[in-house]
Amino acid sequence: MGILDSLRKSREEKKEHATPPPQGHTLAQVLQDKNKSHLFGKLLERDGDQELASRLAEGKLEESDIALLEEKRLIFSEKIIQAEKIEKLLTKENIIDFARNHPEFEKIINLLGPEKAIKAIQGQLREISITDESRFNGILSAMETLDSYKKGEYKTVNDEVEKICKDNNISPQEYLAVLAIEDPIEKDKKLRELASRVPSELRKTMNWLSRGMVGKGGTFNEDVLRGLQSSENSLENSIAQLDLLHQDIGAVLFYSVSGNDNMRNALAGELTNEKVQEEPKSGFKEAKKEAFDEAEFEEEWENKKRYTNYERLSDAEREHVKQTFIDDAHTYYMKKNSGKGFWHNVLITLTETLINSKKDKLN
Amino acid sequence: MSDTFIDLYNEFLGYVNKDDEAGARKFLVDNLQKFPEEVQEKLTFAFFEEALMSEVKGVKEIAEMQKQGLEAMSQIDKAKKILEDQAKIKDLKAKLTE
Repeated sequence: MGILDSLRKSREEKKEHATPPPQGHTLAQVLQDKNKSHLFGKLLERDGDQELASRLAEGKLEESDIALLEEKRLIFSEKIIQAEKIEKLLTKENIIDFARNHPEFEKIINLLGPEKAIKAIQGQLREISITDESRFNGILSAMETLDSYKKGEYKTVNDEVEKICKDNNISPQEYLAVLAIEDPIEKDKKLRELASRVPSELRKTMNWLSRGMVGKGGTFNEDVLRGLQSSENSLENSIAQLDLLHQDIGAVLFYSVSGNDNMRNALAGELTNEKVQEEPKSGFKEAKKEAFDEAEFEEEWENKKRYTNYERLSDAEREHVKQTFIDDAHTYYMKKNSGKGFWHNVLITLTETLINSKKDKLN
Repeated sequence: MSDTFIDLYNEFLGYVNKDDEAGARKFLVDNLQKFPEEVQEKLTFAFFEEALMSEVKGVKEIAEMQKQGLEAMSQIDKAKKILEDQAKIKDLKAKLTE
């Protein structure tokens, strides 16, 4: 690659491009996916673009439709990405935290269990991203705030406290055990003991100098004690802040579930243990019962002849009676087999041809 | 209608009467091109529709049909086109009127 191409490529890589779209986000891929094409239809419906949907379905797009479709595809793609983002954050651990901080949402989780609640909510997120955008945006915003907090301030506090522990030769477990002590006097005593630890780097040097005699009851370090005490406050504040964010999400999830029909129905479905639709049976044995019955056909033909005084009819009239009988036979077998699955469809096809072949043999 | 169809139908019925579903499937695929063209189209369509609905059944038969040459391929293409159109219209048009 020449220098000019390399420069152009490096500049292109720095830009944000919409081409190509993420995997599964081209319109062709959206339309091939049953669930996504359904949602795309919902988006067009929501935006009053039913005519565009019809033209798309019938493959009769107009010139101006291309730009409009790209505009809709971008909206759709963004919603799917947002819904996927929330779906990833809806873990069992998270959903339990949301429930513990919001009593109404907790009731829902207690009724269903976390796994079923996650399944029901995740199953509806993409739908409401299109059909109930304000609720969806509420969930998205609360989840993004939580995610950003956990990756930002929460992590910073965590890292700082871990560093203080590490620098002062204190394991996180030891520190947490001291923080769990309820008696303030006892807790203060234990914190001072921790603060008297010799920092790990200094310990190595001193051990070398004193041949291992240092570290058994070193002096108390005021700075370390203050650091440990302040860390306790930082940890408490972070946990309180996290609980508030969990509470917010519990609230938006609760209001989304209780206020959106689809969400509520999805939860009700999980509550009543609605099973995944079983694969329909092939219906081979059932279809067999509906197969063409030669004896019945002959008997009905004899009846027809009798009712119509067939023997006295002209050739044209006889032809008409034959055709009516054949048409009735088609209708009869079509009604018996229609919409019942593969083997019934096979039987309809074969019986139709068979009945037609019988017409010339009727006498 | 030639007697060939009646013979094929009777042979097919033999598998049905023996409750031999696998045999009946194989018979239809192996003898597809002996059926009248209209029947071929409808049987291929039935297999395709089944493959579309269950994503398990019907796929093997479609693959078998594809091995039978250009005529079978043409039937498959017709069925595929009809089903693709139906699926698109069903998804995008019917759902809009929910």
